[in-house]
Amino acid sequence: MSSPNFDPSEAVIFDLAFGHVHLDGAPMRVMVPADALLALLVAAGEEETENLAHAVGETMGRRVAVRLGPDADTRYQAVRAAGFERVITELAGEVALIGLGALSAERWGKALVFVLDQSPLGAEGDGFVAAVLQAALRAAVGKQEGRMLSLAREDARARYLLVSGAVVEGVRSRLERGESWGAVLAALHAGGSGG
Amino acid sequence: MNTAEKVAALEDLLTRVQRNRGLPRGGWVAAPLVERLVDVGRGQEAPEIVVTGQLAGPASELVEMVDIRTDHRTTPGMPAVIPRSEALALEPPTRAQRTLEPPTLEPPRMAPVGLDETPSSPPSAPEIIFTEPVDADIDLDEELDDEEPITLAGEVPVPLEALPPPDLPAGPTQVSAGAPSSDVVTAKRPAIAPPTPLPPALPVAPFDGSGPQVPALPPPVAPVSIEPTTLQATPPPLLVEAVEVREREAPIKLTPRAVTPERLSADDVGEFIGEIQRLEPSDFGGVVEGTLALGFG
Repeated sequence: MSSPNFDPSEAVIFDLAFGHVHLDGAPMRVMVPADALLALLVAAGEEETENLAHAVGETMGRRVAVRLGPDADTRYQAVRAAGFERVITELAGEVALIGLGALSAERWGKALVFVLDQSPLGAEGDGFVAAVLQAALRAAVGKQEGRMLSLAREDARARYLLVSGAVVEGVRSRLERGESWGAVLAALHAGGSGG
Repeated sequence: MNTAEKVAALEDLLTRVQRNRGLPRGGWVAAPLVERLVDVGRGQEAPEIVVTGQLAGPASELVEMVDIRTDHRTTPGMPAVIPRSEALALEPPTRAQRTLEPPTLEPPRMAPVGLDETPSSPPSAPEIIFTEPVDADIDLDEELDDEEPITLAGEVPVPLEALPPPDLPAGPTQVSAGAPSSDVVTAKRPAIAPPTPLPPALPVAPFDGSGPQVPALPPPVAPVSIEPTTLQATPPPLLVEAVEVREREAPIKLTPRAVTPERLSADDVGEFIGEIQRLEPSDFGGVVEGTLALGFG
């Protein structure tokens, strides 16, 4: 299984003359400390955090879609038809460019689980990261049904589960009751059309 | 305040009352009544019921106006409130006044009477002692007026009449067992056949360890270890060094649970493998559709 490489060439441009940072052609990026960003997110509240995450993740997914589907008319179809590993590699590159950590993915049966290691935002930023990934996937695939949930965290490794909105509350309630995330994934396969 | 003062005070009161009500002044009030009224006026319990025979009109008015009613029963059997009729049941003022002392009653001496005994003598009637009449007041104790002389009715023992003897036969009743009224069918117990002798035991050859021929079982199938598809995105070239410094952990693998492995047949294994192969998506869109289709049972 060959792993496609993510090409970050000229993805980030430091315009020293103007003192600007450009990310994949998008100007006016600001590099701020992760702790400061997290403090702002906590102070802003959940709604504002989601708004910021949506803005960040949407641009990420759009860039992935542009790279995988140059043709605007068939862009989303190109992303869906692309290999699983290919898409994950592109998303991981985008996450790494903005400094959110190292992204990978796991498939537990039919469940798609994203794994993020070494996120500078830590556990407090799991909600923000989940919202970023959700927005990125929606923008990349052109599908708005997916919900990204924070599944578990083990030290510096956080897992996020992509599910439909119908099972969001069920997953959360089971996790709050103390069920392991493995048991939740197993229970997800017991029902539903995918079971 | 002595009696004379009480009488004077009450008469003065009566005078003023009668004057105010337009009644002629007159009459007198017995000292006990005065005392009673004064005591009642003081909120004390009336010592006794006193009926005067002097002040017909004024007395009734007095009873109403002074309101000597009390809730206390001064004498057993007497109403707590003096009825109007009692206050009006007066005697003519010219009649001689007598005071009836309570009679001295001697309890009848009665010996215990047995069931078959009769009293030796009837009880004697109580004696009533009349005292000398008093010129001044008449203290009539109503209890004594209404009280009947205690007379004990002579209880003549009535001899028990001989009850007629019950109409019973002289001797014990002879009950003879007759024929049963209902039909009783007595069935004879069937004869039990003698036990059938068991056939003699067949000779059993000693076990030589050989059994039926069973085809050899195929070798057990090894437990299947399921590993998740772990995709590790290749870090960008700019972060290669950083990734090497962090020394990331190995890809996550599905740890087999401590479950007793089941021996599956070849068909089961083949079906399971086929199921896994069916789970393999061919594209990212299929993976997303699969995870979105998950749900709880």
